[in-house]
Parts: sequence; structure tokens; C-alpha cells
Amino acid sequence: MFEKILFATTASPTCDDAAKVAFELSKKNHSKLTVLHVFGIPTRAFSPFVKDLHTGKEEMVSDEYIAQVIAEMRATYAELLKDHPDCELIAMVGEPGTEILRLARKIDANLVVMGAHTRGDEIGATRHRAIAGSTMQRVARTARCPVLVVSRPCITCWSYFANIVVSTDFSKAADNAFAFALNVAKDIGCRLHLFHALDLAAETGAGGLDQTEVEARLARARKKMEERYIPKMGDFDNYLIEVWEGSPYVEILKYARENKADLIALSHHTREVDPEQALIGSTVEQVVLRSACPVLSVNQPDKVDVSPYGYRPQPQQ
Amino acid sequence: METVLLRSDGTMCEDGRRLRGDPLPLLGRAVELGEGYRLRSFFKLLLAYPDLVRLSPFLPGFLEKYPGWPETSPVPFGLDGLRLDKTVEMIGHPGPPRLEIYASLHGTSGGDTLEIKPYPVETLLDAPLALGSCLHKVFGDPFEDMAFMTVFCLFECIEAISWQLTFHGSPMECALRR
Repeated sequence: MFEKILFATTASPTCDDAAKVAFELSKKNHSKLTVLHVFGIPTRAFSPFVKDLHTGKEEMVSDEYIAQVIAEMRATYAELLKDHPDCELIAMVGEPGTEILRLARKIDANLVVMGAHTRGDEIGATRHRAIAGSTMQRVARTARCPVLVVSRPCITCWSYFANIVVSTDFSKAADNAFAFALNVAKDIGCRLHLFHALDLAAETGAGGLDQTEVEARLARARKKMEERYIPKMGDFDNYLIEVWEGSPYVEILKYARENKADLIALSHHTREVDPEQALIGSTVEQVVLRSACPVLSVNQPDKVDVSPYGYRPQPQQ
Repeated sequence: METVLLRSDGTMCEDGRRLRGDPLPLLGRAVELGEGYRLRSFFKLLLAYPDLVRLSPFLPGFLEKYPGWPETSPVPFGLDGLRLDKTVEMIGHPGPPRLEIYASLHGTSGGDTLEIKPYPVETLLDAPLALGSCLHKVFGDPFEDMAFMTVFCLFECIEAISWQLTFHGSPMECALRR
């Protein structure tokens, strides 16, 4: 399905769940897997020192130091690497978001897999810090290819997914998320839940609407979904369309939980905004933080609708 | 500091009298938990004072499910109870330097804290709920010997418990394909 997968890791336990998914996906699809760890920020231009991202201390960077980091990565993922002899491990210095995006472009990755956080912070703390890791936010917002964020153990293998929920706000980016989710649902033969949360509070303010008007708006949203997405389904009939009223991230999570979603796909921003201007705290961050299943952020049409879809491994001779 | 007593039956008492009116003026009061207070008592509180439900967008969903949950529920093996703690944390890197103060709910087990996210809410309903202390973290390092007595106002209690609950609700099993 994916020819090239880039797994961006902190090489710490916070990314263990993402690692399992990345390695499993790579194994199932015979993908070329690249594991990237960005471990510092250059303190000054051309300086041999970097500021370690975890400790904040200055470290001398040399080829030996980088080789040492790669050796540590190899030890961290030793068990998972057994089945991936061709896996490439890369360690580098830089701003993590920038380097992940740069490498994804360079290797033409079909998918970026990453964890949600840099640190294993307790839940309470996430209220006051950036909701989800700033690197995840930047990569999910900017990457040309889909970004899979895994923050909890994935109980179902990708190829056995039974339910994919794709949330739409009728934006172009959401259409791309839909296209990708549809392709995955077709490919692995699972149900696609097409979901829209009608955020009336945001549209109407505190005044609210009477129930008749709410029902009318829900019906209009459903009709709009049917007109926009059903023609794109082709002969795929294993789908549900659902419109709920409420705050998008709350309703997406509730719907995903009630329907045993294995994957939530959505675009990074909930409105037609410049992706660079999308604010922290958007629906993706809120969903990623709380979702028990992996969350897929798709914003661009690249790597979404290739025909035939994705990479098809040749049968073993 | 003025206090409000949260009783295990879900009612609130101020100055020894049961509160029957608007609960919002009490949000800033220091909380005392009555004998036998459990997570179930928190849900009874929300049912008794529906205005408090508006403090979190997830609470209405939990209250819809609450009537379908068992009336008694054994506390999960290995979990002694639930505790609200407050954390004061100095953070220097990545900058800018800042001080953060927050309350959070977690499990307790043999003197250790426990992540309760994997437990369905309905299995935690009868876990005893207690108020803990204020913990001090400096630049990422928690100092066990720097735990201070503190108070939690009603708003902090409801908000911290609600925040934790938003992480619960994962399906217990995979769905079957058609």
C-alpha cells in the first residue's frame, strides 16, 4: 500500500506505539522504511555545538556522536528491526519539524508516522502546554503526504481495520482526507464512516436555534454530504453518512468511540484557512490528544489518489 | 477560606445546609469530600446540579451513559483509589521560562500513582476519590519531598475530573467486518 514510509521518532518510549504501527505497516506492505530521529538544534550557525532537545544542554556534535545516536536507535528498535533488514536509520541535528518535512520530501514518502508528543507528560500537564507536540502539529499541517499520528497502543492491525471515520467540514483539505480514507477502505475492505459535526454554537453564537431549525440544518448538511461524496464512491457501498450537532472534536471522538473506529482521518484545519495560519488547538490536535485509535491528518492531494492506489508488492517468487 | 462539602450522595452542603439553588457561586470555594466519596458521587453531583455539566463538553455524553452503568462496580484489581493532585511546575526549556499550575486526576496503587486512561469509566465508579497534595516539579524533575498541603476549589475539582474523563471511552474490543 505504501511504497515509502517515514517514521519520525524521538527514540523514546513516547513513540513506542507509533513504532509498532510503522514497522507493522512497513512489513505488511513491503515498504521501504526510514526511521528518523532529530536530536538537537544548532545553537549558532556553523557551530559544532547543538542544544539537546531533551536536556537543553549544549552537546558537541561529530560524526562519532551521530553514529552513537544511531547505534542507540538500533538498540531501541532491535526487536522490531529483525524483520526489516533494509530499514534505514537516520539521526540528524536540526529543528525536528523542518527536518522531518525535508526528509519526507526528499525520499518522496507516501506516509509519515509519528507519535503525538515529544515527552511522556502526564495528562494534566497537556492542558497548559501545547495540546499536542509542536513537531506533530507542524508536520501534520504542512506535509505533502498523509501523516499518521499514533499516541496509544493500536489494538487492531491496519489491514484488519473494520471502521474508518473520516470527518469533513467540506473544505478542499477535507476532500483530500476523504479521498485517502476511501482508498484505504476500498483497499482493505472495511466500512467508511463519513462524519460531519455541525458546529451551531460557532455559527450562531450563544443565542442558539430552535429545534426545527437545527433539524433543518442537519438535514441540509446531510444532503450536502450525499451530493458531494456519494458520487465519488463509485461502486463502494460499505459506508455510512452521519451528521451530529456539536463541537467538532467532541463529536468526532464520541462518534469514533461509539462506532469502534480503528482510524480517524481528517484534515488539519477545520475551516478554509491557509494551512500556515491554522491555529494550535484545532480539531486535529484535540482529537489526537484523546483518541484511542490512530489519527490520520491529510491536507494535500499528493499521495492520496494515485491510480492504482499505492504500492502493490509483487508476489514472492 | 469558605468551603463546600461534597457528599457521597451527590449533594453539596454549605455551612451545614444542603444547597438547593444555584451552584455557580460556589465554584471558587475550597472543597471538602464527604465520607465514602467515590467517582460515582461525582456523577451524582452532576445530576443534582445540571448547571455544572456545562463546564465540559464531554460531560453530557457521559451523563447519557451513566444510567446504563452498573449500580455497583468492583474497583479494578491493583487500583486502590483515585486522587486529585495539584502540580506546580517550573519549566525552563524549551523556553520561554514559565510556571504552570494544574490539577489532575490519577489512580493510586500501593503508594504509587497510576495511569487510569485504559480503564473504562464504569469500572472506576466505586473507586474511592480523595484530595491529594500540591507537588513541585522543577525543570522536569519531580521532587517527592516537596509535596505540600493544599486546597482544591470546586471548579478545579470538576474541571480536572472532567479533563481526565475525556480520555476514557475506548472500545473494549475490535469491531467485526461485514
